[in-house]
Amino acid sequence: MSLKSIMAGTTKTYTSYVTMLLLLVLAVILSLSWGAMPIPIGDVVVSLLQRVGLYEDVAVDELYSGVIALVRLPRAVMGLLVGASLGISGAAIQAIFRNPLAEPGIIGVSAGASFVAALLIAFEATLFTAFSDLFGHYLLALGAFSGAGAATWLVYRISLVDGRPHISTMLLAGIAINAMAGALTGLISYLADEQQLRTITFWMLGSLGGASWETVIVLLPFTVLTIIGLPLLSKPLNAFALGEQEAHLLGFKPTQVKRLVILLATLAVGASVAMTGIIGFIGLLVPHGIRMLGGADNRYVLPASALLGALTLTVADLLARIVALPAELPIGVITALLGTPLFLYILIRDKKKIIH
Amino acid sequence: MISVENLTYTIKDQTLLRAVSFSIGSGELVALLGANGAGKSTLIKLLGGEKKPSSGCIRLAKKALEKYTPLELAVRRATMGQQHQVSADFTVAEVVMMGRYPHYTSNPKAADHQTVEETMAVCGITLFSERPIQSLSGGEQQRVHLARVLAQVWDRPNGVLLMDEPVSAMDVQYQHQTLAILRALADRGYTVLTVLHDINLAAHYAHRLILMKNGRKLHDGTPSEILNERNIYSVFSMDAHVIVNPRSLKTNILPLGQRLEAHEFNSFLGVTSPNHWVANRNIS
Repeated sequence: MSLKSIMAGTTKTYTSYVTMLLLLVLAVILSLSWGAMPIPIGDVVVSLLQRVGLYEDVAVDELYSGVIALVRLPRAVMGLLVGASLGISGAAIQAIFRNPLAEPGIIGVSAGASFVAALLIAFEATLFTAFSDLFGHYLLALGAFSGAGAATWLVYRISLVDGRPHISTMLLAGIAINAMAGALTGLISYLADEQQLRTITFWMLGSLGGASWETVIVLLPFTVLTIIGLPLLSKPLNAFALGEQEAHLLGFKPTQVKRLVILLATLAVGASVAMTGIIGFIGLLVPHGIRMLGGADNRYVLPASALLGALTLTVADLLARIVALPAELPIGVITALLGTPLFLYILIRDKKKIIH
Repeated sequence: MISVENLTYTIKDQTLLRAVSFSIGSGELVALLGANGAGKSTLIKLLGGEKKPSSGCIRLAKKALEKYTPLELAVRRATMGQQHQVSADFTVAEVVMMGRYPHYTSNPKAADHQTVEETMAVCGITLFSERPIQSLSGGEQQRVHLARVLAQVWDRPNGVLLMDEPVSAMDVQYQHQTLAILRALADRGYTVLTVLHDINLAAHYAHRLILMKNGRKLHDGTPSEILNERNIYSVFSMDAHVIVNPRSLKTNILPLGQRLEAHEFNSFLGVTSPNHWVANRNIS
């Protein structure tokens, strides 16, 4: 109990960083090894080391290295980027909303993306052929990203009071826009045929199946920007816990902070959703898990939520691929099935501590 | 240090402050007293830069308040507001350290840690330092925020402290301790303005009192100058007896109390209808 231990890394936070990092490395190696075609872990490790110029002389089955290089590695990297984006954005959104029930979806990101995605899936062949010719394979991702951006922009605009975003108005506007987009998505689902309906449903449950190095490269700048950008705001985000006025009195500019958080979260989550579909749970519960493990200081919560988000999604994707071989389950189902009991376990274990 | 000229604040056709003028010098502890809704909190918010006045001018160290950036203000002026709901599970020490945020960029320095330790000690919260603030009682939480606000200007002897009912939830020991801290800091050069409801507490510690009602400043002076029966009645509509405490030699007021009969204001109790109950409510 020394003052040196507050704010900066405590033993508790270091332990949780190191544990999560080790688990993450393990999860990535396992997710490269396990799957429809099992690859021995030794070959996975050698193949990874060869990518950084080590063990060049050790021979690895070409089929194995091909599967790793072209299929599993981009998918694993995609999982890391998307999971980290969802986790860190969720933590930051909860901080500016001063509400533990907030998550990136609350500002309309997911609902807007779903609506446009459903629209494109159902009517691409009939109404949007021109776009389809122009953007080809990327049309769905681009459309979902625009939908995410547009919905968030709308929520943000509605929430402005005297030119400043008003948080409780934003919460209500978000709920309204979510309901509206949900209704429209429902309408499209109703109009869609069997096959399209299946595609829409699967898209809304999320999947890393579309991962390739191209999609990873498109996603990378958004994720990196957010993962570096949000932790720079951890001091003002801590001050937000006292209230916006108090943050202002401590010399911060709350309006600027809110704008930046919403912008960065929308970029990362919008881009992630565009590539993978909706992946629930991580943005909401990962930051809570992190706070229970190591406290509420955002200097820890933000990076640790990125780490735990990446870990959760990697494990979830691994399970999604292997539990029902040769079929693949939607990842949203796994994140909720896997995460909820774990989260409830921590919640029940720490219940007494929270109340007293 | 702070001077206020003709300050008026109007919001939605309601005028909360009307042409208020005064100045507070460095080294002065001034208590702001007044009826509910008199505009005391509004005044604190305007002085802290939280709200912009409709007209009039506020100067801090001879420079107009609006010319300061939020950060420039934050390093020399600390405000303690009435609301203290911390939304996340921060520990007491983490909350107090937030008071040092304006003073460092990424990591607190040794002086910041020392400040936090000293303010926690003087506010009597060192024992709770590692506990989540949400687990403390209302009065204890208020002491944590007091420590945080003090930490913000701890190393600035020319600093300004604006306190809005800082002791509202505290027990009598900490009410006095808080005012004693504020007085000691004022005596070393700080400029302190605090809203209080306890007139005797104010009279005991403050160099000067400002009495407000309906958005106006009614009286301004030392406790012995302005605390008399007429002034108290004009602000609080209460009869009081004013004495000089023979032990402390400070001005004390003894409110004479009110007396009501329940049937006078509750038509369900008794036969008399509740009219004219205002007429004879004061016992004397």
